[in-house]
Amino acid sequence: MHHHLKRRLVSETARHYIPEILSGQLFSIIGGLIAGWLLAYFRHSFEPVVGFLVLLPGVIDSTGNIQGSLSARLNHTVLRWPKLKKDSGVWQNNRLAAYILSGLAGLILGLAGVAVSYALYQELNIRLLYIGIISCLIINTLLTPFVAFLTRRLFERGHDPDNLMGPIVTSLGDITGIVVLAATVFLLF
Amino acid sequence: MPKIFGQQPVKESLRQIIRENLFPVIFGASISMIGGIGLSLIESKLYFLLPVLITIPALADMVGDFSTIIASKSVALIEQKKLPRHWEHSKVILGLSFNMLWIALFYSMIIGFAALAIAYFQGFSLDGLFVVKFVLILGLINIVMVLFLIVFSIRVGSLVAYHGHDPDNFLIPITTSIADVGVLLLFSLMVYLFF
Repeated sequence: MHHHLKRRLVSETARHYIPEILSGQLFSIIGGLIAGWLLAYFRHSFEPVVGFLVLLPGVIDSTGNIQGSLSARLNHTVLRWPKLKKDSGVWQNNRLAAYILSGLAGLILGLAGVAVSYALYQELNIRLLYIGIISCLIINTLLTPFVAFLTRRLFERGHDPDNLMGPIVTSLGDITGIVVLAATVFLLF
Repeated sequence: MPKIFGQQPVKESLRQIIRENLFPVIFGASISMIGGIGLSLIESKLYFLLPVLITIPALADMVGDFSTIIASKSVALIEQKKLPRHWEHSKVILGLSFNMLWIALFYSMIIGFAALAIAYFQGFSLDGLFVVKFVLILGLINIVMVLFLIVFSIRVGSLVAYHGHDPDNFLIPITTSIADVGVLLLFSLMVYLFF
């Protein structure tokens, strides 16, 4: 039985995974509170943007979804094929797919944000479309290489990325997302 | 006999990855906007009540992470053939579920008090009644959401894997989106009713 798989099987008891989850959640909560503080700090920039709150959860969540799914796929691939090289087609395809999916998500979010804000506020705010696309692309461009690197490194060091990468990805996605959104709003408004 | 998913992942093409992930990403983005609509309806209160605004990312992250962890562990157990078809009999899953609940409640208190402290230092004035209402609402939201997501993640993950699909591509995006929407809508409703 492969060494890493054996270690993961042994670690699947409460005594082992609770500390991992507690530490991961602490990281997630600290990251979320920092993101919340940034949200409150930049609220005067976001407040005048009609329909911004409609867009905000979608941009943050799509980043978490894409990066979380990327990490899980890479983790389970490495689990089954530990000797797979990091410059192999599998790794490159997964990273490229994350970029493409982020662009698509941004487009959909932007279009939907424009439509919903028009329905709610009777104001056609086209700049929401640009905010959605630009921010999603920038956020995922920044995060994808780091997530791929960290997933593999955690696995190589005997940790279970499934326990740790979720909180890391969502926290980094939130913080990066709000900063990038603030910068995008500042550029466009 | 269900197909074994991921028999040849080394040959998984870019098109295949995008095709398998496109719907979950679109679905996740779309469903997240429902939560955004909920926030928009309480926009004036939200920008005024700083603790509520500060809490939202941390609370959404925590609830989403729990569902991701449980879903991911279910997939790992399926791969190791340790999760029975009727997951209710799995002691590992039941133990994990119990632990998720008490951790969620513990951390919801931490989030609540931290958000109140950050808001206070940003100039928001606090009173005892507001603090009590805020902390109780956070605890209640967490318990409801974690219970719902535990059942959802395990049932859907098991069904998806049993029918030969890779739950990694479907479950995590969908579960986190449902978690984020649910917590935002619940939170919006509580703010609307109690503040």
